[in-house]
Parts: sequence; structure tokens; C-alpha cells
Amino acid sequence: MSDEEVQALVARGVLRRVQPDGEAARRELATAERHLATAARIADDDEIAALAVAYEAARKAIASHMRANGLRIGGGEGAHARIGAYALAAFDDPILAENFHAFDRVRQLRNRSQYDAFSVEEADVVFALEQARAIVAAVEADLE
Amino acid sequence: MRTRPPFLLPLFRSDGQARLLARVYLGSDRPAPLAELAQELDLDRGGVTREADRLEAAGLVKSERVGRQRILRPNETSPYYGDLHGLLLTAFGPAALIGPALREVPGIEHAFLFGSWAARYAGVPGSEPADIDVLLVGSPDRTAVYRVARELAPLLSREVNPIIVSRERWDDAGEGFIREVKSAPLLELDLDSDENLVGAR
Repeated sequence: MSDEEVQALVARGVLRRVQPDGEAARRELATAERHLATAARIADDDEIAALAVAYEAARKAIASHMRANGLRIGGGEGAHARIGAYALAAFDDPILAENFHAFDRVRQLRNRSQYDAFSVEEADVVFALEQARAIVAAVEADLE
Repeated sequence: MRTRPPFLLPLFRSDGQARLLARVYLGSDRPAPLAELAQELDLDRGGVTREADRLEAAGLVKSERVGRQRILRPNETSPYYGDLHGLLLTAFGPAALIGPALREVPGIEHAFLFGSWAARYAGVPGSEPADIDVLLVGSPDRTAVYRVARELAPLLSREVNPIIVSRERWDDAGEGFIREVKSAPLLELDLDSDENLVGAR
């Protein structure tokens, strides 16, 4: 974990310090895992829902990592985008960085599909699931 | 010649001048005779010649004669070269750089710029584009496309946001988002040749 970058995000108000809560973090991570399974199960029937749930799996996994490390998103707009910024700072790993950048693309796809009458394709769901699986696994490994 | 100032950067005297300068400065690896530039940029031949004369007299470009043809190149010894190149890159770079960068990704049938950047480029007034919207038709590898977009962002000083739609979705036009994109200004990027600064429609 790159403490320096996380500190910088706290200093800028992107994140704020709270009491670490390992129990809540474990529960949130378990929810993320269930989301992964759900997204894979519905992928063939409902691409838009599957993509949204895969995105939620990744988001909750990152949020659980924050919770375990005593951090929350600060106030203001763009909370979801800030989660990606936290993940990039917290996991100082070039391969995972690709997944976190991809997480942001999935976020944009999800937003378009939710608000812009934009359809989602099977390839988008496959991509989203790949990223979500990698992110959930990385958080699990780090919190073990 | 497009005589109004370009909405993307109204520091230039005309849209035609800006397009010509952008093509010469940002496409210096694929120089073309004036007649071809006029056609490529959707500008009239006489206007391009007059503009070329003006820019050459100011020392911003230099001409090279190949037979009867006149080829323009940026004048890299001009004291304005570095700053001007930077301005042109930030303002007009998407039309020049994104197409060539996407050529390395297989599976893209068509590439378009849409959204606020394409609208300003086409002469629709509005606020400064916050990012560059790119629509790709086909089935390229998502990871490869997103990587190219990320590499382009610092060069263009804006985020590049590609979205990918299959050929079926693009042709079907029943989808609200695609109908909206098609009804607004679009700039198609040429993925097959070296010409990318094509006229907007």
C-alpha cells in the first residue's frame, strides 16, 4: 500500500479518516463476492443488470478495503470516481492498476446504460466481470 | 474558406486557418500538396493558397516545391513553433491523433468523434469540451482500446472516453443513445489511410 498517496488523498479531502472496522469490511467483501456470483448467473439474460452488479461487486470490494483501513470517501461530488482513485493509490501494483483503470471504464459504461438509453453487450459484461473478479481477489488477498 | 473563428480555440483568425495549421503541424509525418490538403480539409483551394502565403510570410510554415506541387511544412525554427504546436495539439489534436493510434487495435470497423468536441469542431457553439468522446463500431479488444485512450489523454490534455458498439447495434439505430449520437455532429476518423483531418458533417 502506498501510504504516501493515500495520505495525499486524505489531505485533499478525497478521503477521510474513520475508525477501522474489520467486521464491517468482511461483511462488505462477502456481499461483493455474492454480487460476483449473481452477475455471472444473470449475464446471459440481462446484460445491463449483470454489468451493474459486476460493477457493484468491484466497488464494494474496494469500499471494504477502505473500511478495513479506516478510510471513507470525503464529502462532495464524484464519490464513485474517488473510489477508483483510492484503489490506484492503495494498491501499488501495475497489473492491478490496469484493473482499477478498467473499473472506471465500467463505471462510465454503467452510467451510460443507467441514464443514457445505452445498451450493454456480452463483451462489456465479460470485460466487467474480469475486472471485478481481479479486484475482489486482490482485496481478499490483502485483507487476509 | 471557413471564415468564422474556430469554436475549439477562437484565437485563430478563421476555422480554415486553424484546420490548415493543425494539419501541417500535427500531420508533419504525412505531408501533402496544397490541393490535396484543401480537399482533405474541406476548404476551397484559393483560400488555402492565400492562407498558406500568409502563414509562410509570418514564418510559421515553410514551402517545399516538388515539381509543380507546393508542400507545406511547419517551420520548426520559428520562435512560435513550440507554443503553437502545443496549442494546436490541445485544441485540434483529437482529429489528428486518435485515428492513427487506434489503427494498432484490430477489430474496429469505424471510429467517430462525437459529443461536445465534435460539435465544436463542426462549428456548433457551446462550452469547452471537458473530454473527448469516441465511438468505435466493431468488436475490438476492450482492454487494448482503453489502454490507447489512456495513453492519448496526457497528449491531448483531456480524458479520452471510448465506447464500443457492435456493427449490429450501430446499423439497427433503435437504441436511444445511438440515435442521439447519429443526430449530432460526428467526425469519422479514417482508419485505413494516413488522412484523418476529414471534414465534419
